[in-house]
Amino acid sequence: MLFGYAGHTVEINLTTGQVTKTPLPEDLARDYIGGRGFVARLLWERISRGTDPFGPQNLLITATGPMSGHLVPASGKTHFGTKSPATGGYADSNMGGHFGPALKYAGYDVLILSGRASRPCYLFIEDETVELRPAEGLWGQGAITTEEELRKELGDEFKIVTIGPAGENRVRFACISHDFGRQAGRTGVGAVLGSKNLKAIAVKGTGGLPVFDVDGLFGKGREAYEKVKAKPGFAGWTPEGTAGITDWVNEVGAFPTRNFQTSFFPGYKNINGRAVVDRLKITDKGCFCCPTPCGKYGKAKTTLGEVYVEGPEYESIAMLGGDCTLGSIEEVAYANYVCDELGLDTISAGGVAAWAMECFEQGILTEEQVGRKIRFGDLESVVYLLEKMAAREGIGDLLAEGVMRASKELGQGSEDFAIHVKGLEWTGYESRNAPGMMLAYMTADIGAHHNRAWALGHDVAGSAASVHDLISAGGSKGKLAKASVSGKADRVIELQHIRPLFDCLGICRLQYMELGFEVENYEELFFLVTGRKMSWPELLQVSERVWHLTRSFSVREIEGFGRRSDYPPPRFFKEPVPDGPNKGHFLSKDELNTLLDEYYAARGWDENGIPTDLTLRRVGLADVADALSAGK
Amino acid sequence: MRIVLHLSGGLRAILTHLPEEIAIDVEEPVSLREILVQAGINPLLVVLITVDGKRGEKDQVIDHDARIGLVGPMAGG
Repeated sequence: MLFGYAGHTVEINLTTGQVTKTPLPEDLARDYIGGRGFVARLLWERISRGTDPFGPQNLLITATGPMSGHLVPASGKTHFGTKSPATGGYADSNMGGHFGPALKYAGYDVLILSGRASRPCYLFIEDETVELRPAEGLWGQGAITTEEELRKELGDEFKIVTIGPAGENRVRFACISHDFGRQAGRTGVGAVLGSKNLKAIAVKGTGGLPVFDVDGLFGKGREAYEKVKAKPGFAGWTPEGTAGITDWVNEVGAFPTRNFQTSFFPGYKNINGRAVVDRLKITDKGCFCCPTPCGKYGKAKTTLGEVYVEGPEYESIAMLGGDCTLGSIEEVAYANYVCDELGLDTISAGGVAAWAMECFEQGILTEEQVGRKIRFGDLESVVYLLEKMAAREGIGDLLAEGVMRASKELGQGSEDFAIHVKGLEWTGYESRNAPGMMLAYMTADIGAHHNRAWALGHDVAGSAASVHDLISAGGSKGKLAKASVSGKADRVIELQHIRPLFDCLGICRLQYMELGFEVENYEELFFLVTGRKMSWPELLQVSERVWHLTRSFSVREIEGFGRRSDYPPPRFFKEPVPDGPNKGHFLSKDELNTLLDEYYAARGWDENGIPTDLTLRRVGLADVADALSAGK
Repeated sequence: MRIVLHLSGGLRAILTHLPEEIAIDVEEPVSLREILVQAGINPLLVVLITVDGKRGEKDQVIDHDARIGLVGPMAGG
């Protein structure tokens, strides 16, 4: 028996309606643990080279981890994986909430969607019952509205994921939504669901899960919950959630502003965590079994209307606030709501809107092309662009392709400030004086995303003046020194194994990363749930295996994939930061190559960033090594 | 006055040489920024501060025994 797991995979062929349930393979659980690991392995095995991300052969895989749904702090994570319509390579995106636990209670660790339905439908799962139901009446509705409608129809016990019009229209950065404000936002997983004509998945599970040591888990789980709440950072971090870092990111000159033209937003105190609490927040909102509810549910009133919205989280503040320069938290929250309802990833959508506004400023996009004047700092402009993107109307059809494809089509130098890596728009940390963070963005397996390795704190530690200098400068005020470039690889690699490990386990990483909940607790909880005695280093070895596998997937799927895929946009190696704490700093192309050279060597990849045969065999991926060498 | 600093996991992941708790005795009212420097903590690495469980600021002056929570760098969601 596989303790901790529900024990089954369920696959639905949307073309035929056939439902297939199979036992969860023991070797899959042993070698890949769950969540992201399952997604990576199944995508590698099941997708043929050259699969069209929007074709019926592409898969949308939902996977939970062994810790999901158990009495373990923050065990509500769910992972979605596919071949990305944004990058053409490996993709996964996760969300909190309650969906993953419900799926396991219904009896399934993994849900695989293949094929394409002939008409709009939604997937209904209630324990053993798995069936497709018509959804013509929901097609065209917003993601939040759809969840409300299905909740009314099915009842509150159903946990539901949906897509909005953006997913239906195959916007390459459409997200999957859940629980009125949680999203698997990145890599276009919502667009793949839309391409399959699937509007939603509703799950109700009433079963139990096998646990290796029930009494032990009950005691340790309760103790863990209390330990997390007693951590020194708990009282400081929980009230504002992730929005609480807005001040700091400006203080260290890393806040995306005006399409990453600069890294400091003078109006940041009007869109920070305190503004969320003082002017928006109604209540805290947490995920399954979470002791640290970082979600903030609130109400925002603007000239365009009044909305109820979860958030804004820090990333939405950065990309809709700083990058589009919306000047009040109410405006950021409104744009956040529009994205949520349309089913757009706030990160990519904010980045795309900012790119379009800079194009307009420079005369690369005209009023005739856009359909109206647009400008930074104008809520109407931002909302107009968001609505056009989601509908693929007019200029929106170009923008819905994301900044990589849109800039290639538009040309005129717009590629230089199309802020992405591998086709995925950059998230909320400007990194021209943060070489570790820059390297993390360059080498993240899904594109420019921060959650694989967030190295900014280490960069700041390395770039600030000495403590004695800080005393004479009155603390931390003033310009930052240029950070050193060499020696970043090992730290980034370490983080790239730690953070994605949580994505394999099916739990949130915040309690460990932010509050310092000790690794010994996770080792013990993992043992009590699964009966497997694995040390933290042994768990990290699995995470390393997954890292090489996801890289190999993109090598297989993207023609010419390698070093050239890892560079940031020219803005970051040609334009010094114009103002703020990092004024004058940037990383040259030579410095970027130094970062990559050291990283590839430390990874055991060749000079072009391709995993070597030796490395793949060392981490237990001999079949992958064979396939790559055979060109399959 | 005795001021006790409690370092979050995110902070200790960077300042690996420091313990979870640091006690500092001071005679005069002092700003949190100065206390951090005295403790060998770069103020730039502190993202959020609590003073006796309530949100504080780096330039806030402390004039009584206090428990200070220090939250280090952390990523957004």
